Amino acid sequence: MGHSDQVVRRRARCLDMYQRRFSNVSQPVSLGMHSSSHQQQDGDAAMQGAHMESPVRYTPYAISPFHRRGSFLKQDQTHVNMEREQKPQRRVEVNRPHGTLGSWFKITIPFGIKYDEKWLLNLIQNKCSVSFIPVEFHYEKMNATFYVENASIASALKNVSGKIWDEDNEKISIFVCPDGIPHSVQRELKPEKVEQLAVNQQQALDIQKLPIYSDFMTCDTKMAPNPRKGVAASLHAHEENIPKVMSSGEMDKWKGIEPGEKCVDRSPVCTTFLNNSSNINSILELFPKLLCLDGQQSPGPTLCGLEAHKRLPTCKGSFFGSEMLKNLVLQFLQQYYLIYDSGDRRGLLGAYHNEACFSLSISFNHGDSALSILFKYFKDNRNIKMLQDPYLRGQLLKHTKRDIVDFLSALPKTQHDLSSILVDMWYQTEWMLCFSVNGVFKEVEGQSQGSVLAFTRTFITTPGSSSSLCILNDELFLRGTSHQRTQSALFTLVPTPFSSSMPAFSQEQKKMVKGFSAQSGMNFQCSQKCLHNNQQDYSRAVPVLAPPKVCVPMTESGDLAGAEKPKPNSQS
Amino acid sequence: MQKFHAKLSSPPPLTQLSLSSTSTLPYFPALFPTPTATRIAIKEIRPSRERWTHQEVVTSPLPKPVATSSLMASSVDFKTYVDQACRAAEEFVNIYYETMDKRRRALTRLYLDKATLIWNGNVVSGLDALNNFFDALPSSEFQVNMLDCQPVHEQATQSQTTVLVVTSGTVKFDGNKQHYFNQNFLLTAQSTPNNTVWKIASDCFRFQDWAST
Repeated sequence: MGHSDQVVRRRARCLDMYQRRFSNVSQPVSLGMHSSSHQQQDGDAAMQGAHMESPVRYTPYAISPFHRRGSFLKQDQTHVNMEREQKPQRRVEVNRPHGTLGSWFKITIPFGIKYDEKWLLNLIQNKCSVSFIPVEFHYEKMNATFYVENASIASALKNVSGKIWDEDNEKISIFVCPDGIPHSVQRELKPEKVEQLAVNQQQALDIQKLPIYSDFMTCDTKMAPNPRKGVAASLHAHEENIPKVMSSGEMDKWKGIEPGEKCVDRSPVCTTFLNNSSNINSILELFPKLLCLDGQQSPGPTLCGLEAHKRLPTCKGSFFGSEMLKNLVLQFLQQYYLIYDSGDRRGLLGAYHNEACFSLSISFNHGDSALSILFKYFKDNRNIKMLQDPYLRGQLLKHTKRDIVDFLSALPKTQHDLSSILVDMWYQTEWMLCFSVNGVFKEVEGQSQGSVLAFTRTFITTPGSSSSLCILNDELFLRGTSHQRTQSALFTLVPTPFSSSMPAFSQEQKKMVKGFSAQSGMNFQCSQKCLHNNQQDYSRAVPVLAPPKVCVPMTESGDLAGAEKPKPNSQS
Repeated sequence: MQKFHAKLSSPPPLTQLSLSSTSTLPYFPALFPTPTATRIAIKEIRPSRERWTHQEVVTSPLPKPVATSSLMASSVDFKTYVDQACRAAEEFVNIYYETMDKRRRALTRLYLDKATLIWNGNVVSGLDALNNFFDALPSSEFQVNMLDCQPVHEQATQSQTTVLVVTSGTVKFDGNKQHYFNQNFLLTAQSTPNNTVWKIASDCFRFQDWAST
């Protein structure tokens, strides 16, 4: 190529600058570079000598900043090929005293704030194939972080990710960033050394993994005493290396994107980024296309997948503000549902404020069987998303306690399982106590008798007379149950002594049990127990139901869809 | 959180109106936006290299308090207020979930400084904690299937206009399976002479299958 001479000459010039700059780097580092390319051999012998000293391959970072982006890019084309052929295995063996130049890596343990420092480091060390010295261990937001000064150590630590568990048996991830210099190290370095460090770090990257990341690394404004200078300096360094990054085989992907544009505008990009995850997210937001381009290339997590270190917090049970509030709320709920399940809901008039509001909403998430049960609630379903008519929106909101209780009284009789409820108390002030109740209930009368529904009921209450709560707002959300949930619902509100011998079930009763079993997902035995516990329902149900109507869709022959055809003499 | 003291307050006077479902009660007209069309203005800055700035749910200004001593004085009925609250809730929910999915960093701008979030039983209190929390949460894809809302009675809010918003749908967090969720918000109105800004005072979120995660 026509440029090769130019490249060689430039390399020589830069190499000199490089050597002058870093002649104080005395410790030799071995590189796994193989000079297989004839181009390299054509180059300076000095260059090879320099390689003995530099952590990684040669880069023209010292080129004049006034050099135009365009030509730089072209010239690098040849450089690209050389590098690609070499496929450097960069091993940086560091035997230098702490505080001098090296490649620093920031190790992040997401949600590490949960763990004790010693415990965590021991855990990691036990699993890690190399011993490491954590520098500046601290907690940052919800994460635990520390620094290590070695690429291979960082790599070894990365391998530990997902192979260690905490006391809750949750996997611990380890996230490694070639970024950031420990503050104690920064303070000891002069600005130009800091700049070089930034360059080193970037060079130490496995570029094929995180090309974009290296460009937009956190430009730590603390890197230099004068933040502006520091930002400019590090940007300078990064800028020079942008084409390097691109040129490691991904030039094609950058078609249509002018890398120069990204570098020119200096200040906003760097100064607003506070940490790596914000960095990445911001990048993702700013340049969604980058994401796609990059995704296929990365062998490890994609740029998106850097989010792999983000985990959902563990789900927990009920939350009450305090023990006193817990008792208050549980007592309220017990009283409320005692009346609610009693068959006469007029007693609830005392629970509601005169101008209380109530509304109902349903969701068909959980399959056909729920649909048939929920169907009766459909006419009162208040889903603002679907319902645009202002008049109906108003109508469906029940207002005043009389209207509310009238409405509730018209709903099927129920049996709520208070033993398995979950309560979230999400707001309280002197005048207001707000909480949500999640649980299951069974309809114990009507067409869907025996069917189980899940509910989420949101209450906004205020202190009422006689130290009780007075309901101001009540929102009831209904849905079907997944099989899992029903099995955990024990229906112990009406405990009856359960004899080991099952009563003889009539054909209708067997069908009902089958129906309940099919709908609820409980096994047959369990369904029997369940219905048996509520014997009074059978005595009421059997004369009423002929043939038994269950919530499982019927086939044309009148059998329950999905249920086995009852054999004449079968034992249940 | 503040302590919850049981306080005996006299209930509001009973009205003499018949309580059939078709009657309309003059429900605290001072609290809700005027019956004129609510102008919903959503201020947001398009993605750029600048920091995110405004991310708000804004409606037209609330009317000045009106004397409610006379039952006939109010020309606005309860249903109209309900409708206004609904439209604010609708706009809010659209913005909230879009921000959560696409502009996560701006999400906390929708919260009051002292807002609290209960996320699957985890308590997150105050803007700083909320920022950290949403930062650490994987990227999300929300689909809201149900939305319901109610105006919150002023006795609870001490005349601070508040709306209860209840939502349900599905969410897929990056790296996790899809979950059905239930969520509710308390939205409070902060009035300025020119407009009303709605912010989240409280947020409660739960997977429907939280126990099996």
